Amino acid sequence: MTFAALSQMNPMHAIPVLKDGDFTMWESKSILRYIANKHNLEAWYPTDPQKRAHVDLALDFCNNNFQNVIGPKVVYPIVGIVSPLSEAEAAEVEKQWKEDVMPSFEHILRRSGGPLFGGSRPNIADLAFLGHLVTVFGKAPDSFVCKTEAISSYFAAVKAALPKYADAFGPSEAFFSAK
Amino acid sequence: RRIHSVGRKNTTMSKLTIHGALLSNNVVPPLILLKEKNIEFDFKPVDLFKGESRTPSFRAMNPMHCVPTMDDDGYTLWESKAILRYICNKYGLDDWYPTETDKRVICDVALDFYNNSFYPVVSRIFLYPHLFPTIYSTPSPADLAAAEKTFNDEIIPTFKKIKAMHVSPGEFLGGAQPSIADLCFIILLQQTFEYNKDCVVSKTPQMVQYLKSLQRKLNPKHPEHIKAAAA
Repeated sequence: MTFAALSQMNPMHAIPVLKDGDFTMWESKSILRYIANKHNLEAWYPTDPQKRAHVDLALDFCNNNFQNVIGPKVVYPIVGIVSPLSEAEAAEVEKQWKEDVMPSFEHILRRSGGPLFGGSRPNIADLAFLGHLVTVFGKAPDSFVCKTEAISSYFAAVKAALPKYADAFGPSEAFFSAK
Repeated sequence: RRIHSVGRKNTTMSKLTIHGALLSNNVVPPLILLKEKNIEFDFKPVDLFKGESRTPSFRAMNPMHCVPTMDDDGYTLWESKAILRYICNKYGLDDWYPTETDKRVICDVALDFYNNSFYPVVSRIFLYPHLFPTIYSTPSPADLAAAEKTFNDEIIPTFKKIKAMHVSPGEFLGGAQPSIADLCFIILLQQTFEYNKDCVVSKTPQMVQYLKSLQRKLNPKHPEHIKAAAA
């Protein structure tokens, strides 16, 4: 697909893009909501307002506080998309991770009873985190993110709960782990 | 397309408390929604600059110590868009957040568009350096030029594309009537027009017209919230 063709489908030229018949949409978390709503996947995105709000909170937290560290602050400097962080910047990122990001991650996770955001089985919030975890564990296994015990045990729990994980993520894992 | 069974209104529903600051463009949208639907709520001001969101009791509700933070009789929530969705799901506000999948998805895409594309560029480059000059540095000429290009080449076309997703498009991202996605825009746009009237955002005809539509739809009912946010 060319950049021009992608921009026709989505002027923000981001992926993923979903085509469902004549309907085209983008934004990964909205795609997850759409699939769950369309097929009435109650376990993946419950309809009870407070249970649904928990998933919405987890999705927003992933988007606004988690993946913006994993990408721009950890993986991108390693692969050269952005320049490496200065010592001061890196220290600030790790400080926020410890003081704000991880307490929030654990607070939201605890509400489901754990070990997953869906409790004992995965929901769409778990799927949202999964892609970013595959990337960071593949490209930055020695980072403070991957050395955080709560993150590595959560990652293991998500993988264990998804029978199709190897089929779906095998190629991604291989891509991100390659030297 | 199936209609979800979501919360229906009943006479013994718990009362929400919203913790926040009236100058925040993320706090005011849920307040407008509650006022628009005559839903009683409490508002508790939080002085972020004085560290009032970093107390142990606030962090027990929300470890990210941001606003708005909602407390519904012990059920706490943060993230303005999660709060907007929750209010609609709880009180059955189908006109603001449709339950029908094909209509709901347009609102979800619009909410993400605001959060990931519109807000980061407009707030950081065009508004906050003017609204909070002691905290946000003036963008470099290169950053400013790049932001203007992104706004013209990507953000405005995406705005148009989302409006066009409706079977019968209208003035709003929600179609003929505004959705909770449209509510996100009003304070940010109002403040940008007020504090940076010469920037590309304030001069784009689509945005001038859109803000007029939003104000026409909402202003007469909520002057105190919108005025306070603009102050």
